[in-house]
Formats: sequence, structure tokens, C-alpha cells
Amino acid sequence: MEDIGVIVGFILTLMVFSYLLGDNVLYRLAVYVFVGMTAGYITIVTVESVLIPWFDSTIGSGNTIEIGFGLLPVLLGLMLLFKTSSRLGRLGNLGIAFIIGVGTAVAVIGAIIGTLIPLVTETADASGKSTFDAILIFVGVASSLVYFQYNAQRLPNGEIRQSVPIQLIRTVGQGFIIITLGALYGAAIITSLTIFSERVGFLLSPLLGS
Amino acid sequence: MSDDFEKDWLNNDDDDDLDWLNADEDNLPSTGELDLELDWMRDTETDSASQQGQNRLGVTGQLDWLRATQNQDQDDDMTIDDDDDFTPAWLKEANMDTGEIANIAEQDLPDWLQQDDDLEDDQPEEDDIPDWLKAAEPQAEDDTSQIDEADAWQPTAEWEPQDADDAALEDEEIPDWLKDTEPPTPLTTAEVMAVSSGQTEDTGDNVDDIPDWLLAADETSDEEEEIPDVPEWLAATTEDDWQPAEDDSDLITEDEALPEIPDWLRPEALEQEEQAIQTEKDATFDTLFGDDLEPIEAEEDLEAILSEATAPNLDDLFDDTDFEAEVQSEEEDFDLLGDLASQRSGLTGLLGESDELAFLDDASDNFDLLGELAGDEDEFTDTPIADAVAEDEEFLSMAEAQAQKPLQGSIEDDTLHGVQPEDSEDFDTLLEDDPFRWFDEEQPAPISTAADEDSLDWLQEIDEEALAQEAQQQINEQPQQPAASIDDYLATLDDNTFQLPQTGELSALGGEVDFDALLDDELFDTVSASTEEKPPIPQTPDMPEWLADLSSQTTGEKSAAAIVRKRKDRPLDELDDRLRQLRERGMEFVTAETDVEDQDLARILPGVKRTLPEMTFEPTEATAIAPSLQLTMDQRRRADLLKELVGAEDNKQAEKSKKRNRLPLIERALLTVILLLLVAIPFFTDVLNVGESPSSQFAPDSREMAVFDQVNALQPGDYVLIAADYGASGAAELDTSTEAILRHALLRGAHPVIVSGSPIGLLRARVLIKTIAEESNLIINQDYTIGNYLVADVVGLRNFGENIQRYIQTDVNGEPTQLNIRSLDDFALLVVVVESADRLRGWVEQVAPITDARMVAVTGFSAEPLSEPYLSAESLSGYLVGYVDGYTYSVMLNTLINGGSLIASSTPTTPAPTATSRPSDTPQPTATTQEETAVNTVDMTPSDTSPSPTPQGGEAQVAATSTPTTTASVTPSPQPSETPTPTNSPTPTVRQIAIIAVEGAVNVRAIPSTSGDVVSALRTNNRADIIGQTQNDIGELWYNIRFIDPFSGQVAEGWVREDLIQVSLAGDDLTPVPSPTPAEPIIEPSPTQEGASLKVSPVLKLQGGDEPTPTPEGEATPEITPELTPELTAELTPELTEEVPPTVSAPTVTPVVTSTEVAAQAQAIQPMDIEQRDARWYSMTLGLIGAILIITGGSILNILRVLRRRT
Repeated sequence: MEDIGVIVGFILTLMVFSYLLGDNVLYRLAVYVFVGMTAGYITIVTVESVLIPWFDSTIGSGNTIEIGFGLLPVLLGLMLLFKTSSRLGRLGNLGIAFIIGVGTAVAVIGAIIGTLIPLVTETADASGKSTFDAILIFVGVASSLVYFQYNAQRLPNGEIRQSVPIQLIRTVGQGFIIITLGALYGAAIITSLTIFSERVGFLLSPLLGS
Repeated sequence: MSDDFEKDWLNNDDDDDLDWLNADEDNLPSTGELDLELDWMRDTETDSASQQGQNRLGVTGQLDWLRATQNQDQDDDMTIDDDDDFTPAWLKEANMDTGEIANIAEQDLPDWLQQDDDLEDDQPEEDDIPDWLKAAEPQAEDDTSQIDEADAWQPTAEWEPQDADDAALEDEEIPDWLKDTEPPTPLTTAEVMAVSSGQTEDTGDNVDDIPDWLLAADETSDEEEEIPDVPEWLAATTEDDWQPAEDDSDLITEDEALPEIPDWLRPEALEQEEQAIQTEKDATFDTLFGDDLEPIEAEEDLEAILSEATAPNLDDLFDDTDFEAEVQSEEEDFDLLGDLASQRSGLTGLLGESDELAFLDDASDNFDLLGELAGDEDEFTDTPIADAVAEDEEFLSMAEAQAQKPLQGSIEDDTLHGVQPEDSEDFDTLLEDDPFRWFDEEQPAPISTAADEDSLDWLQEIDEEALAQEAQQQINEQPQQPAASIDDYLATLDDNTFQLPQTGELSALGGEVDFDALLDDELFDTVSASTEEKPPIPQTPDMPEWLADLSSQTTGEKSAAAIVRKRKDRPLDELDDRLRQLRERGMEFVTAETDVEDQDLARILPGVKRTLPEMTFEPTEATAIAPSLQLTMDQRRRADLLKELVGAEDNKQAEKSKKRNRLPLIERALLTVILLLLVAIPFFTDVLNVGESPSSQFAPDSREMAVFDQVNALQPGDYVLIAADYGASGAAELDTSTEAILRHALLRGAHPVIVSGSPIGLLRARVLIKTIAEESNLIINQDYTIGNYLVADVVGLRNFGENIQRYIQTDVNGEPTQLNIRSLDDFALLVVVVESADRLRGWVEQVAPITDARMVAVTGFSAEPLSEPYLSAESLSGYLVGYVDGYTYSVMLNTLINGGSLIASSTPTTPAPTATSRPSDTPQPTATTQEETAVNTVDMTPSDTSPSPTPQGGEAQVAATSTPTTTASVTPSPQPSETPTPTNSPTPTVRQIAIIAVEGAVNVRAIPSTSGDVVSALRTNNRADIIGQTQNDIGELWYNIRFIDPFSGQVAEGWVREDLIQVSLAGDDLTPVPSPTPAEPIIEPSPTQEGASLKVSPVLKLQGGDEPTPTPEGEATPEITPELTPELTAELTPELTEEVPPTVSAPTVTPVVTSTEVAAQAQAIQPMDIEQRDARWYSMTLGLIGAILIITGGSILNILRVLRRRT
């Protein structure tokens, strides 16, 4: 069984690599297989790991409050199904609003507490850093933020122009952003090569005897 | 558009002044005596469905120009009035100079002239019956649907008198002889004929009202005495002995047919009986419809009629009420005529089903026309056209002027019908003399003569523009017929149409219609000869017959096509500025003539070969039409950017991108092969290995080392959360690190709890730990737990952080986990393995802020740049990146497992003791005390990873940490066990932790006194490791703790008073230390342990997190003898942290667990076997070099290409 899995994995890997020569049916077939298997697995895991435990702990508890609490998301979920109907689609808006509202609130609060404040604090805290590092961090953060502001002054001749200092700061910020994006791009290439080498090693394993 | 439209039909006078006549020339009455008869004959075949609706009320010719305007409204290109399409081809070939008709092909002849074999198809149907007749005799119609159809096409059927005046007027217009007929009994056809003869002036009574010609006819026909008022042929219709022709053949010979034709229809009779009256009518009609007619002889009578006319009113001319009156008038005529249906049936019996039946079947039309004209001056106003003629002084003046003009001859007449005249100048003259040129705004026609100027004063007041507007408005108000192309319209026409001869030509033959002469082959020969002289025009199979004929005969300057072609010759002076600019602009384009003749064009306009080829119009800076569309370079750049963003590209860009995407296969294959070779070579040989392998150990104080240290600081029984939050794409990069951390945690005796926000990641971690579990005999939910799938992204993470119990009550298989975890704080460490920075941000934002547990991360290379800030912000205690750190970590782990030495971090980040399971071949267990050396080197005892078949007991080592003050060795009893399976000895742990038990902040001081400096502060439920305790001068008990400073994030030490904390053992937070009393009886301190204050809970927390269980029956109970240093209490001073006596006998702790349990909990974590570890690394390195070279080379090539283009 394990050997079959290895063989199937070998074939599927080659099929995916065939995309290097262009989009073709082999690549698409492999992708479809992966997507289909993933969807099926996620469905099973969701049912077993999420839904059933939820129902067991709420509806199956025998407590009226728990039952009501457990039926609430079921009700909202069923209302989402009405989105498929143009006439009754409005009923699904409640579930959508609930999801978006809660999600947005959680994300914003988390971003403020978990990212914004710590980063600002860290940027402003020069302790533990060298002077150069502290200045570099401050300049990088400030100039990058300035780069994303688009306020400008309208001149008497109608031309819209930012002040020279702002333009200079924007330029510096743009440089930081470019470096950051370059680092991300380079890191992405390394990641790709990591995966590629791992797969190549997998393909060559029969030849290597391992 | 509207301007063009108006001018289209008003200004095309140069070319098609007579189009309105030509278009329906078949309907035109002419001067011939047989016009009355033949007019309806022609009408039977020429009317199409659309024509019926507008031109079936006997007003056939008058409204044609209006119908033409409607057609113009439908389609500008559909200039029906411009085309001489309705002229039969054979008739156009008639040589009017000689009065002969050339020979034409038989198929070109009209049906009634042909001996058609298919009478059923060609038999006149509903459209041949006047509409008013259809409405009047529904009972006579077999097919009522046809009546409905006819009604649908004649909205006039619903016309009603709008007011009493109209009715009164209508009543006044009834001929006197007809008024006296009370009740209005249906008259016979003969009576109608009498009316149509126009000899009503001789009537004195009802009987006298009968036309003379009818009376004469009665007199000349002795056989009709029985029915004196009815012609012979008509009288026969009342007879019962009407029988259909015995010969069913549709062919009727001339000898058979002609005798059946009534005498009054014979040219001779008509000429004799109606000559005088007809002259007047001809004058009227010639004035109405042409200027090429014979001079009016009864001019005085016409003037008498015109004198009674009033000024024309266009509203009256086109008022529906007039048409209503027309309908009613026609109905009255019908009443007078009697039931024509019965007559038709009689005729059918007489003539059989032959073409001549159509001739007779359309007698209604004839009667219609007769009824229209019967009263001459008196009856002339009974119809709208009569109204128009009678009241339109302008029109009448033109008619009068026309009457004064000399006869133009047959050439003009021919020209009128589309036949090319010999002298084109005459044709132009004829066009200029068109009386309807007054419709033309630009060239008002000369309309008056000196003789009638006095009576046309009102005409001077006419605003032509206003009239044109009114006409246009009226056209707009009329219901629009479905727009159709000229082809569609032509397709609706019957091929057998337009083949009736023109009465004018017939009259030109000599005033009498001789069918023999008409059918004479010589005439057709003339036509054929004339046709042969013309150049052949290619014909298409689907070309209508009439158009094919037209195309073969009208390629000159006088044809419908020529008229259309002449449009382009419109003087430039008449063009407005816009059209002039457009023309100039069009002249700028270089057009190439196409030799290939367009089929559609050939079908519509035969002979026209030149068409403007299609051109791509591209706005440029030099565009004169739309200069406002000129774009600056900046605007173009922005537009291009916008197109690129929205994915919209023009054709050029699309082609470019297509070419760009269509990278040559060979080029792509070449790059692929190069990269593949570079990546694959290291797996075969190390010749091309570039660089060095990753370091075998992390650098001290590095983020990577922080991770290792914190995992290495895990204590047996500690819960460690491992979030394998990555998918299949990150597996190749992160699996190594995940596996290494899992092994390390298990090696430390911790209990991994695996969760994931990705089911695939959960699956990957499950596979990994399953492998480890098989190697080390681990038991799920006892040694490790695979938690549930975290749904809902950040919301799910938040929910997981706040309601973790709900997520870990059951594992992924639904089995209860029995985990004693109530919050995230119960985890000793959170390890987040993510492949994307967004997911890491989710964990940091949603989970880290709500727990005091330390969090470390493992990310891929792509997420590294965004992970660094969180480390700086101390949200993370450390992180590993990609395969390289996983490589190093695995090396360090293997070194640790194999008992090698590692250079520990200079920062004492982990105060916890190290528990190592090491099976020993030594039969006698040894108790050693690991101490931190001066060089911070951790001495790893070499271990034998192979399980021992005869375990003599394991060596449990509670290694000292940075401070050797609390060191205890728990040595299990060496007594042999009955169960030989355990290969490793358990590693019991004794570790005390302090939990802040009071609300608010608790100061941590530098010395065990409230007067000491505050080092830091801890909050409620914060934890710290107890590294010592002491009593100060006033007897207060103070604990020396090591903790993570919440302010600096660094490891710090300090003192906290005993009443502010709760002391418990690690992994059993609910088990407080009862009192700092000496050890329980099971702890037997050595003689040197006097005064030792270390308190060991009687309940030891062992690996697996389970409480010690009673000794199973029948099993030996190993003894666990803790070895405590005698100076524990005494040396709980800061200065004692430097050195510890190397040899201190520890107290013996009586074991409370069975050997079997200990053996079950023993774990032998195998070193990681990373396949092709070095090969992968060098493969990555070489591949990276290759990628850099490819990218750089491609960029250089692109730069060179750009430079070459610029140069």
C-alpha cells in the first residue's frame, strides 16, 4: 500500500511538473485530483471535528439553553442557504452580517492589540538596540507610512503637488518598501526552490536507492 | 439623422424626382383608354403585402410618394422610391419610339400574358380584391383569415367619420343619381358601369342616370335584352347555367378567352363609348401623375372642376376621415355593383380556372376605379385623392400647366417607367418638370403659369418648410413598420410581380390594345436585341428575377442603380460643414479598390464594384474629427495602467501579451532543463556542492537558539501546543522543523497537543507524529494529542484561545483526550508552524495577547520578512525559518539524543531541569548530577538508542539548570522487573513553580525583603520557576523565582514573598505545596540533608500527566529514591548559584509507580533520519544560483533588447 502511494505520488509529481512545458491536461488532472481530495478531506474533518462535537456539546447536552445556543448557528447557517434565492435571499443577510461583523471586529481588535501597539512600542523603544538600528527602524517605519499618504496641496495654477520634504520622505519610504518587497520576492524564490528540491529528491529517490 | 432623412427623400430630386412615380408606376393611371381596365390589372400583381396596407383603396398612385417617405423612415438605405424596381423588365425594353415591344423571354412575361400552367398559384387572391371589397363581402369569402389579414393591413377599415360635417359632406358628395336611389338597392354592374362612364350629366331620373355607354351597350347587344342593365358577360353571372370550363387546363387560348371578354372591355368598345369622357379623365390623371401625358382636351371642364376647389389642406389630404369617406364611398360603389363574389363565381364558371380569371377577378378594382371616377367633376371629391386634387390649387395649377405643355412623347413616358431614353437630356428635362418638385426645399419646382396665378395666391403663402415639417411629423406619427433591409423587402416580393404592361405603352401602340400585337414575338425580339447590346452583369442565384432583369438592363445612367449611384454626386455646396469635413477626412484615407465584387452589392446594385474597404480607425493626434480624444503621454500611460489593472487590453496589447505568453517551447524547455539539472546534480555527486552545509548548531542568543532552548526547557508533563498551520505546499519546507520540534518535545517528556487551521496541516502533523509514535511506542491521548481543526480563520483562532477546552475535549478522531487544560496558560509553550505571514499574524494577534504562555514560530522563507517584527515586538520568543533552520535543529536534536555536547545559549533561558531518557547498559543505575559548567556546556551522556532487552532500570536524571541549587535524582529501584519490555527508565520530575495568587501586581524584589529593589512585577496567575527559598530576618519566607520579565521579555530572577504566591508542582497546578515542612516519610533525606527545605510533593507528576497510580497487583514496585542535595535550603542564596557540591547524596524517594507504568511511559525518541539532508541543501543552493543566473540573464537580455530598439 505504501509503495502504491509512492508510485502515485511520483506520477502526480511528474504531472504537476509538466506545467513547466505549459498548461496541459496532465497538470490539470493532477490539480483536480488534489483539489477534489482536499475538498473531500476537509469536509470529513469539518464534520467530525467541528460539527459533531458541537452538536454533542450543545444539542446533545439536554440543557435547554445549550440546545438553543447550539441551534443558533444552525439557524444562521440555514438562512445562508436562502442566498441562492433571489426572492428570499434577504434572509441570508443576517448570517452574512453576523459573520462579517464579528470577523471584522475580531480582526480589528487583534490587529490593534497584537500588531499595531507592539510594533509602535517596539519602534519607539530604542532600548536594547543600537543607535543605528533605532534610527533605521524609525526612519523606515515613518517614511513607509508617509509613502502611503496622498494629501497634497493645490497650487494656484491648479496643479496638485506635495511639498518637497514630503516627496523626499516618500522617496525614502519607497526605497524601504522596494527592499522589503525584494526580500519577500527572494524569500519566495527560496521557498519555491526548497519545495522543488524536495520534490526532485523524491523523484530521484528510486534512482538513489533510498 | 433627421436632417439626412429629410434630405434623403426631399433632396434627391436630381436623381429620383420621379421615383415616387417609378416606384409604383404600376399603379399609375395613364392616358390610354385601357388605363381604367389595365390599371387594376397591373395592381393585382404588383402589390406586396406592405403595399396592400397602404395602397389598396383605389388611391393607388396618389399616396405612393407618402409611402415612399415611410419606407425612408424605416431605413435610409431602403429607398424604394428611388429604385425603379417595380418596372417589369420586359416592359422596360419596350421601344416606345416604334410603339413595339421587344421580344422577351416567356418567363419574363406577366402571368396574365403567359399561358401559365399553374393557375392555382398565380390565381389572384385576396390581395387582388380591393380592401373595401374584402370588408364588404365577408360572407363571400371562404377564408375569413384572409379578411382579417387584409384588415390588418388597412387601418382605414376602422375609420369613422369624425364629425357630422364629414358625414354631411360625404352625403353631399354622393352623386345625385345615386342619392335618388332609395333605398339604396344594389345596382347591377351595368349601372356601375354607367356611373364609371361619367355620363351622369345626361341623367334626369334614375333611369336616365344610367350611362349612355351602358345604354348603348344594351342597344348594341341584342342578346342582353332580358337584362338590359347588365352587360352580357355580367348578366351571365346571374344565370344558373354557369359551369366551369370543361377543360381543366389552365391554358386558355386566345380564341377561347377573348370571346368571353365582355364587349365593354374590348378596346374597340371602350374607345367608342368612353372616348370623350376618358379624355377628361386622362387629363386629370396626367396632371396628377405625369407631365408626359397627352394634352387635355376637355380643359374647360377641368377648369370648371378646379374652380370649385378650395385651397389644399394637407391635413385634409391625409386626414383619416377622408379615407373613411373613401371607404364608405367604395362600399357604396360595391353596393351599386352588387355582389361581385357571385359574379366572380359566374365568371369562374364561364372562363374556367385560367389566368383570365384574375383579369375578371380584379374587376372589383376596376369597379373601384370606375366608381372613383364615374362622377367626373361631380364625383371627384368623393375620395381623398379627389379632395386633394380638387382643393389643391397648387396641384391643379401644375396640372393646368402641364396640360399646356406639349406632349413630350413616348420617350418621356418611357423614362417615367424607367426605360432608358435615347436622349438623356430629355430625361433631365423631364425630371426638372416634375410637378412634385415643390416638395424639394432646395429646388422648388416651377409650379404656376401665368394663367392660374390669380387662383394660386394662397400658394405663395405656403411655407414649404412648414409643409415639410408637417409631412415629417405625420410620417413620424404613423406606425412604424418593422425595419427591414432592402433584401428582406425584396424577398417578400413575388417573382411574378411587375410583369403587367404599362397602359401608357399599350396606348402608345395605337390607341387600342391588341393582345395579338402585344404578344407578338417581334416586339419581344426587339427587347431581346436591346438587351443583348448591354454588357452582361453577373447574376447571383438568389437574385430576384426582376432585379436580375433590371441589372441586365439598367447599368447605364438611367436606372435605379444609377439613381442610387448618383447620390454621391451631390454637390459639395449642398453639404453641411460636418459632412464636408467627414468627406475630406475620408479622402485622406488611401483606399484600394477591390476587384472582388461584393455579392450583396452586386445583388442590390448591379454593376457597382467600387466600395470603400474596411479601415481601422485609430484616433491619433492628427485626428481631425475628435481632437478632444487626443491623449497626452501621461494620460496614455495612466490609461494603459488602468487597462492593465482591469485586465482590459486593446487588440495590440492583447496580441503582444499573447506573444509574450507564447514563450517558445524550446526556450521554456531549455530553462527547465537547466534548472532541473542544477537541482538534481547534488543528489548524485558532491562535485558541484557550493558552500557549506548549514551550521550544526544555532548561534547563541539567536532567535533560532531561543526556540531550541525553550523547547529544551519543557518539562515532562508539560503541555506544548503545536499548531501545524500549513498546507501541502509548505510541507516540504516546514515538515523538517515540525518533526524536529515534536521529537524534541517528546524527548523532553512534554505532551504535544497538535491543532491546525488547515486540515492538510493537521494531516501532515498527524503523519509525522504517527511515525514517531510507532518508533517510540507512544500512545495517542496519553503521550500526545491530535486536536481538532480550527475553523473560521481569525475568528476561529480567537475562539480557540478563549474556549480551548471545547476544542480539546475530543481529538480529531472524536475520542476524549482527558486533557486537564483549561486555558492557554496551561501550555508551557506555543509553537506555531505557519507557511504564510498572514496566518502567523492571526496567531500573534488573536492568541498571543490572551495568554502568558510563550510563543515561538516556525515559518517559511516567504513569511520570514513579516515575522521579524513580531520577534522584535516580543510577541514571539523566537522563530525558525524554513529548511535551513529545520536542518540545524534536527542536527542539534540528534546530537542531543545521541548524547553529544551542545554549546548552550549564554543566556540562561531555561531554568527547568532537563530530563533525559537514556537506557543504559549498565546494570547498576547511576545517579549523577548534571551541572552547568562554567562554559555552559551541556554534557550529553551518550545513549544507546537501541532498546535494551534486559533493562536493569533506567537512569533518571534531573539535570541541574543554571543554578544547581535544586538537584534531585530519582533513581528507580534496581530490582528486576517481571516485565522485561521497558527499555527506558522513567524520568520523574520535581519542579516547583510559583503562581501569583493575589489580585493585581506583585513586586519581585532583588533581595528577600520588602526593602529590596523592585526588579519587576508579576500579575495574577503569572508563573515562575522556584529556584530557591529563604527566610529573612523577620521570619518571612521568600521564594527565589526565575521568570520572564513581562516588561523586557528577558529572563529575570528575583524574590517574592511566600504569602503572595501559590506553590505547586509543574504539570499539576492544582496541587499546592502544603507547607515548607520537611519531606514526607517517603523521602528519606540523607544524613547530609539535614535542614534541607526542599519540599517534594507526595504526588509526583510523571510523564503522561497522569497521577501516580497505586501499584498494580502482582507487580514489583520500583523504588524511586530522590536524591536531594543537603544544601538545598542553605544554598538558596544568590551566591550559591555559582557552584554546587558535585557529590551530594540525594534523598531517596520511594517510588509510587509501578515498573510497568514507568516502562510504558518511557520513550526512546529516535534521532531524525532526514533523507538526503545535505543533498537537498546543496540542491537548493545550486538551484538558487541557477535561478539567479536565469533571472539576471533574462533581465540583461531585456535591457539589451530595449537598448537596441531605442538605437
